Amino acid sequence: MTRYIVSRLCEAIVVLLIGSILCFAFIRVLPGDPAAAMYGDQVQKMSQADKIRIAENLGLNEPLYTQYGKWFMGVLQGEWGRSYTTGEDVKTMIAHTIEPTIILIVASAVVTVVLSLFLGVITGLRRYSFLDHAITVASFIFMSIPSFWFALMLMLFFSVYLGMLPTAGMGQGGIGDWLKHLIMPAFVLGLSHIGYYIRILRNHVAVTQEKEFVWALKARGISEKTILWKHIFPNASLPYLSFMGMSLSLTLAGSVVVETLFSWPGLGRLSLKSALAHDYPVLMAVILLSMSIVILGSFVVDLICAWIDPRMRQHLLKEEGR
Amino acid sequence: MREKRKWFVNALLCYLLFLLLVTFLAPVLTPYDPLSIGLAKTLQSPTSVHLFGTDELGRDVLTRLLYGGRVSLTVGAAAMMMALVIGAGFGVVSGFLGGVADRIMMRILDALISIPSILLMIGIQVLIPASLLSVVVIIGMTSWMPIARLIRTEILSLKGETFIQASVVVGASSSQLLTRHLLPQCLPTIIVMSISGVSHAILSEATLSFLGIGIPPHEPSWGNMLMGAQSYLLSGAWWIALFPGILITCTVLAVTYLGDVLQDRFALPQLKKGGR
Repeated sequence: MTRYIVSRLCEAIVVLLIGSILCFAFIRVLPGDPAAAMYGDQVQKMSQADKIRIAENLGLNEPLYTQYGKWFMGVLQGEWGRSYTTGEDVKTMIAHTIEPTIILIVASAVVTVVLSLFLGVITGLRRYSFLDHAITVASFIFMSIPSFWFALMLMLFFSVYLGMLPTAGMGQGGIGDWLKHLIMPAFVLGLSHIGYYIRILRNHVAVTQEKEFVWALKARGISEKTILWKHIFPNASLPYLSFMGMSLSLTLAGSVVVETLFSWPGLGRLSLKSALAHDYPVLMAVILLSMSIVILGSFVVDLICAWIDPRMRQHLLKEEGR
Repeated sequence: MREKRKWFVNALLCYLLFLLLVTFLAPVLTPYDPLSIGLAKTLQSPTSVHLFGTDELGRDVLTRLLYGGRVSLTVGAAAMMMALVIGAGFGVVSGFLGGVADRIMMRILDALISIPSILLMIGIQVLIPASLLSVVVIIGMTSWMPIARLIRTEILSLKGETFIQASVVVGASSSQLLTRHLLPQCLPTIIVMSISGVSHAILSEATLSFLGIGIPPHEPSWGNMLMGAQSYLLSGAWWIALFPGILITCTVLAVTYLGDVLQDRFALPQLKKGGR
């Protein structure tokens, strides 16, 4: 087990390093004048010498690999640079925006897990029943619906028509007000990939249910409930968990859309704003942070899977460089 | 059960054919111009003259939907082709070379997959000026990773098969091996992936255009028709947002479902939708 953890950790670090090089190289070649981003229209009145001084101050005149080295060491030491547009420390900007994003993602995960566990297990147990068909159709619809449009329709119904829920911000009042602001974004984000979760769980519950060991358990007179929760469910939960690890990236991507729509003051909205303003330090920090979160998330999920399922550990050890 | 499904599949195919036909025949079917602005008739709710109403600049929503369908479907197909070529190429090379090259390529893939797709798209869109082609390139460049991974796995398992080893023994060259034996074997995977690629590309186009970084506003697409819809929606103009969204959903649903049916037909394992 230790060997597996160490090898998996090394892999994660290598991926992170490659990712950071890609991010840096990628964003560095983007066009856009940082001086213009910092000073706006003022930049036309500047002399050439001033522009060069600005570039030197920002370290833009050094070779790319030196810039990368400095930037990466800086990142490790918590030196994330300053925003080109506001001059604010990127670290504080991230610190202000990460909390709303975490709240949103956790809330959406609760929505996803609660609903998909319930619906996935039910449809898996009663395959081809009316309920199964209905939920299958619904999950296909949720796979196909653009999440931003779903959000617009919810706004139309709950905010415009019923006037019940607010459409923007996090709210400043007590916990009730805060929940009212949270509920629509959390449902939009949580439902955006629920179709996949339900189908994964349904298919695995259904397949496991027909395995011989389940028949054997039934023959020995063990109650349906015990068989379901002690035997079928753990087997079906592995692909479910590993999809969860993979979908962290989908959820972060979704949060860009949802946060922009609902003016939720989180990382996703910040990343779109900074990209539109050519604010590279902020964009780079958000991308690198999201990537690290995803890599860390899939690392943790892999460990959990290996811990739950000894077969998987063996298999992963044997498998050559996935 | 089987019968029901067959009926449903036929209905979906008819829907897609119908959609292709009406978007193709758009100039014949509608008397309005998708681009001309009529400030005298802005934000009219649906009437018999304007079946789906008019938008904030007085353009007929139904007309723009038909013309927008051309853009969205073209982007869907073209972006899928691009993702397929890059993904299959990367996967084949990685699986075929094996060893260190394969390991390095897979780690690069892992890194790219770990970046949430929209952030990657936001990054690339700064690089190229917005146009129909740029949207195709952005979506193509950010959605090939799952295809590459799947094709690589397939190539790796095929490499162990006896018939491949036999062709190596009789002296088949690498290019012969690839084009005659390996790629044809991957065809079912490629077909299923390309279908799910279309629905992903249509959804991505809609999302990008909605965020204002996709198809430029003057040319209608299903996504950018929704771009300004939020503010008008909140003031009660529901028809601007409703119809493009329904079309996107139905089209993506039809394509996704057909892909799922094909996947069952070819008895492929459940595809993993990583990195999207």
